[in-house]
Amino acid sequence: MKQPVLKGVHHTARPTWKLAETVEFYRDKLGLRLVHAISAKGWGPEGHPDFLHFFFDSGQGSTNAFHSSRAASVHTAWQVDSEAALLEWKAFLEQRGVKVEMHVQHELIESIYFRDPNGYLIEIGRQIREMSALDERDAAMTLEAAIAAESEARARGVPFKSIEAVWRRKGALQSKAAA
Amino acid sequence: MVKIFILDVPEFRPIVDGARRAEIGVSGPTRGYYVIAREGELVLSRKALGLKPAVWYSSLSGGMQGRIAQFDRDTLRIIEP
Repeated sequence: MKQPVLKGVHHTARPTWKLAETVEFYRDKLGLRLVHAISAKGWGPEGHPDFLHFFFDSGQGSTNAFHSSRAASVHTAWQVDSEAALLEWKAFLEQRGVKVEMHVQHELIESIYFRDPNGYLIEIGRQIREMSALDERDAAMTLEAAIAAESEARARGVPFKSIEAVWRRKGALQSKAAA
Repeated sequence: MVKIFILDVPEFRPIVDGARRAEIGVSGPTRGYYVIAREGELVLSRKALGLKPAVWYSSLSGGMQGRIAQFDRDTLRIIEP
């Protein structure tokens, strides 16, 4: 089987327990644009918590991403430029005895996941569409809502775990914008 | 009134189309979001919308007005706050 090719890094992802500080550092101090945010109710493997995944533009089509609250979320995602290339990688890995643990169609990226011998998670993905100004505005509102929810949880001394609180706050921001 | 805000991008379009088919009120897009609203409760079915799980579990990422009563692999039910 022909060696499939990679087209560079799509994103690197790390966990964060400090939303406000992370956004302040990467967006406000380093000046990287916050270009996309995904918030979701926990799903998939048993016990997967609700999550927030957000991305700062690091140039050349790559982003530096953060996952709220999950140490196991550390990973590097490489990109390929077509669905055919993604399927080639999947077949190539399986032919070489590497177990592809998941094949997921996310909002903006279709990805396969596998592990190296260290247990590190690796993702290969193809971006389904370009990120737009709308994604960027939506990400800003999501993080504004999430930082407010995080701040409230801190003030109450409880863990910030539920994405529903973020969605409700974002709904309130939407209603305020419409007023 | 229960409301959900859906970002006007292709991956979330099936939610808007599904709400229209079910004759649930849809307005917009305004400032980049559709608004789906209903008195009492709003119920969506993943299979009826034809959504993959990753996008399904992000259905409320545009924001909501209400309270989640049920959100599992096939049913999302939101009730008055």
